[in-house]
Amino acid sequence: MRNKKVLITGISGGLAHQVAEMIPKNWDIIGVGLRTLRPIKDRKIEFHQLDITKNKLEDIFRRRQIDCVIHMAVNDNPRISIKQRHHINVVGTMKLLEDCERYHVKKVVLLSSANVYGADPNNPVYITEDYPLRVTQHYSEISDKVEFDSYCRSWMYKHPNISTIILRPCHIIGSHVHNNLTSYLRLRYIPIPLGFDPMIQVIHEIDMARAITSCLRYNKSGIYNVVGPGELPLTEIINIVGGTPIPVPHVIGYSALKALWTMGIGVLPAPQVEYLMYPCIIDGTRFQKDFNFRPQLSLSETLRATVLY
Amino acid sequence: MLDMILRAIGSQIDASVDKEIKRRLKKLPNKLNEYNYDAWGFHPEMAQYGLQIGVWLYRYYWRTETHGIEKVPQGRVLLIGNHSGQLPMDGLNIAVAMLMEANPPRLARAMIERWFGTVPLLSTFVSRQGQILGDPKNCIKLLENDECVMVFPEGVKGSGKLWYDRYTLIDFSSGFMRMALKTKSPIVPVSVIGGEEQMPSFYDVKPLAKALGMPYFPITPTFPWLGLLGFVPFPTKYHIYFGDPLYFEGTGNETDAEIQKKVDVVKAKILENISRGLSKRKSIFW
Repeated sequence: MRNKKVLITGISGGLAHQVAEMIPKNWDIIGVGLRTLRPIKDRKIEFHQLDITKNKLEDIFRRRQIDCVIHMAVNDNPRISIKQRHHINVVGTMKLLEDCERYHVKKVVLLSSANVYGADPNNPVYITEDYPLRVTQHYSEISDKVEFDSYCRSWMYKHPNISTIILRPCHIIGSHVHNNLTSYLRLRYIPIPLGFDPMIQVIHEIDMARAITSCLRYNKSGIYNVVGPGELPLTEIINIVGGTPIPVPHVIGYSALKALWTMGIGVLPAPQVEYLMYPCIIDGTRFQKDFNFRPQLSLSETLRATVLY
Repeated sequence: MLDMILRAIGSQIDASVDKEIKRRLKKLPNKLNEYNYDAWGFHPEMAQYGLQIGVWLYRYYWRTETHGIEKVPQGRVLLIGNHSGQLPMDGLNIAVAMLMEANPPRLARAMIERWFGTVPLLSTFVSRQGQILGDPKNCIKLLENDECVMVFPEGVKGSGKLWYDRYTLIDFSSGFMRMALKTKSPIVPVSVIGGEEQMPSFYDVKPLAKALGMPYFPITPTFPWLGLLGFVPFPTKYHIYFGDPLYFEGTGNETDAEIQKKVDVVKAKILENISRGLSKRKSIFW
């Protein structure tokens, strides 16, 4: 019997690299990415350095019979323009999903994010997957992520024969991932909104990679929140990773951040501060049940591994 | 910020926290994570400072007496009470009673106004005390976790009651009944006596309240005449009567009329205990 083939997009990224390491040996891995791929131990990977928004991607589908696609070429770098991000995240995904349909891929795993729910003082604790996506009410700059999520969702309903799994993980942290929260936590002096200390959920990159690979084992379709070992207040997280919190009144912090960001030196885009003020606590029990998934690292192990490069 | 203040001065005031409070906080059945937090942000190490003040007020300012607290069943339970007194001291007194007088101790979690979550410091403070945003999803989740939730179905309109309406009940919102039925939780009617006299309000200046973003603007013997000092409630004596637990049958999807019948049963029980308590009371202050 031939080995099954999995296509991983965005394989050069920190998290995707760990997913590739974890994929069982009876799968052949084909990777596409923009940057060169660091070699993976004991693993031969067919790597194509290309842009998924270009037509060259389709040729891989023509030549290889792909069984599963893990789509991780989703860009959430707030530094690049919304237009560019929209092109990568929405147009790129549309093209990829078209190819999946045309070349009879049996399973598609899509990486969205719990950020699409948005942080809000009115959020209940334990947001389930049917909760409205209202992040753009405060933070329109990540509308591409919401559009990506909605596009994937409607595609999933249109293709009931393809196992489509949309993952909405909480904040992924770890020494290989680079996102807003990790770059924020790696500061020595960490500004925090004065008087606010929301609960925050984190998942370690290894646990997240494990969650993504577990999608290969089960023939399910759906949207799933993915959570790690638990939730902690922002200040407690900062203390554990060893930073020094500096409380700044919201009004000052917000405008300062906005000014800095325009000059190109801020760490976070200003509306991102909402996530440091209000809760966005998601319910991950559905994923845990359907995919038999338990995060293996404790809260302290998860957080301690974040700042060490 | 609150964390930083308490971390800085916590070691000095830690010794001043009543040992009984610490002991009872440890005995709470709540599930906490490895750093002693729950998902809503309750943290006993920080809650103890607020509780120290609450317990002092309960014991020495209001000299609260509880009756029938042993009737509160173990496991999931909804405490439904009458609301009064302009400031939510009734909630505070019930919560302290459930921690200090119930055996084993329970954390009674109030469903608070949404507004709290937007106020710096206060939002952190209330969530570390174990209070939660008044959203039905929160309430259902807590009941499913076998916790004790406290609801005042009269809402802010109830606590803003005028002196002439004291110890009557205004319209109950019926959401609590649906949540009780959905989660099959018993309801304990709680009647609070003493709250109505702590800050008797003779008139509610609605336009002023609206302009200031307050739920009501009471005119009391001391407020607004004494400025902020007028916010200090009178040291009336509190009595809290816990009624027998009520078990209702249903799915939570009944029509409003059917739910209302069940709500009226709870209301009647609360009123019955209020009038019993009032007739036994010798004086407002002792």
